[in-house]
Amino acid sequence: MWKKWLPWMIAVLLGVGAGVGEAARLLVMPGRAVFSAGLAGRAVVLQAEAATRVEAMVGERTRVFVTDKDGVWELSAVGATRWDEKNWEAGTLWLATLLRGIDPKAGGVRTAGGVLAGMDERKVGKVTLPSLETQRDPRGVTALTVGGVNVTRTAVGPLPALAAEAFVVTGKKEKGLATLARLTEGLTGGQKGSAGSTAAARGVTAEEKKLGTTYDFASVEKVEAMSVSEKEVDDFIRSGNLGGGQ
Amino acid sequence: MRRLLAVAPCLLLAGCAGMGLDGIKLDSVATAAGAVASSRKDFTPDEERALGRVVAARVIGNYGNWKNEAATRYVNLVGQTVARQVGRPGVIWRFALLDTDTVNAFSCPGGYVLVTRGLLDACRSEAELAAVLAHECGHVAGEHVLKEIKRANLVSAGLKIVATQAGGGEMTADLMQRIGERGFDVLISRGMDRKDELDADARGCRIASAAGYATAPYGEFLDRLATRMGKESGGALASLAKTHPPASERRQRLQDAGLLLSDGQVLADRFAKRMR
Repeated sequence: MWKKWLPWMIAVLLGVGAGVGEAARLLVMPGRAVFSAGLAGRAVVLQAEAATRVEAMVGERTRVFVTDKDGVWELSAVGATRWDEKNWEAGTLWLATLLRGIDPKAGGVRTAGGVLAGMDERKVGKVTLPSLETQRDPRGVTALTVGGVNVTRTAVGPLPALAAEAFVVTGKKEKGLATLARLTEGLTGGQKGSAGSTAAARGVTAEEKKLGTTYDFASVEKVEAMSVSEKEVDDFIRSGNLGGGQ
Repeated sequence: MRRLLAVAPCLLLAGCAGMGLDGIKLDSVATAAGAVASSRKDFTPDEERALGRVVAARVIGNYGNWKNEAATRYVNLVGQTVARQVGRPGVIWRFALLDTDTVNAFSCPGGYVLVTRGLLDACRSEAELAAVLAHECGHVAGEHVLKEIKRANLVSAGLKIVATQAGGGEMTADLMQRIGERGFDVLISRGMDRKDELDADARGCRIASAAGYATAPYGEFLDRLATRMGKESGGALASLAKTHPPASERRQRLQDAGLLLSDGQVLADRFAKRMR
């Protein structure tokens, strides 16, 4: 008997440990803000309810980060790489501070005061940085002071329309259990390589019909077929004088 | 710890073989490990939508679809307005009406939001409706129902529901029924976690406010519900009372959090005109 259940028990034990964090917020409500670090750079922040996008200008370079419930991802042409607060570079402490503030999985090098700490150049030990000071107003964070650098919010406003695409993260680098899931695909007969799409009304399937009238898939089909266009929504927002509550 | 978790399955597989546990087939361990791994992996938007389609079919099957095209269109316009503030790319938001006097609204995974005729009757302005829809969007943003389905999978369904779906397998009628019943149980029979409801309230107010609506009317809406609940026992409010924290407590928490704001549009006239 135990031999039947042992594999599942072991597997369940292996699955324990993953947690979902809750990201902090730079703005209380969804919206757009600009943070300036003077000569060190500036960042445009688009904060929605479930994701935040940070476009940081550091020197001549623009770096784009999106955070979701899994953490902060740096986007590039080849995919998304998990940002790690431990890997901040000299001169970008202000950016690391901003990103750490929105990272639900932040847990890297930290001092007792909750301030970023870094490795010194000789990598012989942690270097404690000066205290982080945060100022807020009813809209959210207005200023951060860390390591002698002041990061100041210079503008705040509503989230631009059609901003949802700004939060797309594709090509996340897999790690841990996700890798295991991929590796074990094909080892078992019941798993196939890809999932089918139900993005649009597709017709009630034979399996769905087996469930009888308790499940009204025909009505779901009508719900999926009903749509309002982006232009209709734009017109609706304009006619109601909506579009930003800040 | 993370490295250990990543390496452990390999050690486990090798260990089982090396220890000569004849009765344990490597295939079984691989199946179990794969199922657990898949159940912990995030759903793709397509997978989440497939689960939501089943749960929505179960809920609509219970109440029936209110076939009022004008009201459905209006609710969709309000819903799409607030959904723009959520930031869940890949979610296709769909808003539909349920033909019942019951005062309630339901969010299914994948962006299916279902609102009862009774709830529309209880609203007095577009701002109130927007906050209700934003509350449901908040559930989707927080993946509250999805979390319950995952939890049920790990605890009681032998790990296979989510694993099959997340692995891309075809959903059988049996599998869909298990998902649908779990969703029905969470949404209608017993409700979500109390903290998830309060979280959705806070998210909803942030979303509605960012969309340009005043959120103070939502406080008034909750006040009216609390008053009705004090006078009526059972009936149209029974479902809401069973599945949500007390309306008076929800209002107080939002007030304490400073999320009931007068700034923004109320649009009581537009609501009355569209819902006439």
